[in-house]
Amino acid sequence: MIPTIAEAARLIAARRLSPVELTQACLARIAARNPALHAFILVTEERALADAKAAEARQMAGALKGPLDGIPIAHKDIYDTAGIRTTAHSAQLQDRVPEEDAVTVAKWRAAGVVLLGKLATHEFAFGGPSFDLPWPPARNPWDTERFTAGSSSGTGAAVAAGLILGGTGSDTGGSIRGPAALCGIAGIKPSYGLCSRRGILPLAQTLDHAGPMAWTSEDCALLLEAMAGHDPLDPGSADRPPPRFDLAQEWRGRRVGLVRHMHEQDHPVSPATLRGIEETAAILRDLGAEVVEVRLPSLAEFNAAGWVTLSAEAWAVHEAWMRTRPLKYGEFLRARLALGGLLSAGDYIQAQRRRRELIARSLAATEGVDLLLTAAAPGEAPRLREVSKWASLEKPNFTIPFNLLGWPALSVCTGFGEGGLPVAAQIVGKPWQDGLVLAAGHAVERANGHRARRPPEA
Amino acid sequence: MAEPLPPEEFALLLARAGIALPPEEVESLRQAHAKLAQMLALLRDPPPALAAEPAFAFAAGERA
Repeated sequence: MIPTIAEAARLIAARRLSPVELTQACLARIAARNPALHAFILVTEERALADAKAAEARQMAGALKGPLDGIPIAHKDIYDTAGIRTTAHSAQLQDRVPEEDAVTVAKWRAAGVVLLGKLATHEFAFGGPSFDLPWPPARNPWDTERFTAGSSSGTGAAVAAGLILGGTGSDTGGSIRGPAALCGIAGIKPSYGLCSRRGILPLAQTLDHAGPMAWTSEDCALLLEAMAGHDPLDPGSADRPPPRFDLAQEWRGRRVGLVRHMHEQDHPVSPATLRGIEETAAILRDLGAEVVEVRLPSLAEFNAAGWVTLSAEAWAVHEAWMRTRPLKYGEFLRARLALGGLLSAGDYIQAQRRRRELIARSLAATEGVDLLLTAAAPGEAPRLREVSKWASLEKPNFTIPFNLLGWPALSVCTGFGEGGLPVAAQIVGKPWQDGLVLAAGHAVERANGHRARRPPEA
Repeated sequence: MAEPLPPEEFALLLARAGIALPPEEVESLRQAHAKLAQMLALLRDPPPALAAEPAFAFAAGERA
C-alpha cells in the first residue's frame, strides 16, 4: 500500500515506518514502472538513500524536523537542484548542472525530504507533449496511451503511480492543475507571491507560480507550508508571514460560488466532469456552506488576455535562443514561442489593460463569496498522440483565469468518467485564502471517497 | 475564424521578428496565427478606455 504523506509522517513519528525502507520501496516502484511511464528523467538513488539514512538517524534520535522528514519526493526539472542536472527537459540545457538549489527546493530540503530525482516536464514548461526531445514525454498511469496534461507531466504521473508521495509543479496557465486533473491527484496553484520562484526556470513571470502536487489536498497543505514564504530576491514574492493551514474549517456561513457558465456554456465539459462538480457543490452544501451561482468574465476573455500575456513573456525569455539556435528546441515549443514573437508591444499592453479590468470585474462579481467552483479540465485524458499543438488557441481552458488573477486554485479528483479515467473539479479562493481552498479540497476528498482508488499496477 | 495572412505577408512578419523556422513548420504557424488574431481582436473589443492602466503600474522607489 502507498501511504499519503500525512499517513507516512504519523508512522515515521511513531517509529513504525523506516524512511530508508519507504525510500527503497519508492525506488523499487520507479525501477518497475518508470520504463513505461517516463515520469522521471533522472533518478538520484544515491542521494535518496543518503537523505533517507539521515532522516532515519533523526527519527531514532527523536529529532525529526517535522512532517516532511523522510518523505520521498521529486522535483519538476525546471527547479534548480545544486549539483544535480536540471534541463527543463530540453536539448538547450541538456548538460546543465546548477550550483544552487531553487529557494523552494532548499526549503523542502531543510524540512528533511528525500530527493528521488528530477521529473519530466513539457519543454521549458510550455512545449509538450513532444517526441523530439532528449527524453520521451511522461505517460498517464491510468492508461499509458493517454496524456498526462502538462506541463508538470512527470509530477502528475509519478504521484498518481505512487513513485513518490509528493512533488513540485509550476503553473503559468494550468500546469499544476491540468496534470493533477488528468492524473487523478491533487495540485494547488497558490496565491501569486506565496512561493518564491527564484531558481525555477521561468516561462512567463507575471503568471508563473510554484506549487505542490500530491495524492491528497491534505498532503498539498503539508508541502505548501514548507515551500511558502517571503523571498526578498524574488520581485513577485509577497512580504507575508509563512502560512499555517487549518484544514478543520467551519463551513456554515461560508459561501461557495458555482461558476456554472464557465463549464456549461463557455466550454461545456463531459457528463462525468459536470456530475463531479455538482457532487462537490452538494458536499460543501451538506457541510453547511451556501452555494450560489456566480458570473465571472467569460473564459474567452480570460484566455485572450492570458495567452497573449504568456506568449509575449515567454518570447522575451527565449528570444535570444530563438534567433540563434531555434533547432535545439523541440518542434512544439519552437512553434509556440514563435507565435509569441509575432505579437506587438501594443498587443501585450492591451492584454495588461484587459487584465486589470478582468481583476476588477472578478473581485466585484465575487463580493461576499469565499470560494469558487468550476472545472479543472473538460473531461478525461485524451490520447497522447492526438494532443494538438494549438489546443490552447482552439478551446479556452479553465485554469488560466486564476493565473491572471493570482488567486489560489486547487484541482481535486471528483470521480471517474465513462473511459475509467479520472475527472476533476477546480476549487478557487480569494488571494491568500490558500488554506480555505485546501480545507475545502480535504473535506471533498474525505466525503467523495475517490482517494481509495489508485491507477492499475501495469 | 479570421483568414490567415497570405504566405508572403506572413513570411515578412517572421523575418521582421528574426524567426527562421524549418519551411515545413511555417504553414502550421500561419494557420495558428489566424487563431491568435481572434484573441487579439477580443482584447480590443470593446476598446479599453483611453486612460485604462495596465495591470502592473510602475512605482518609483521599488527595489530593482
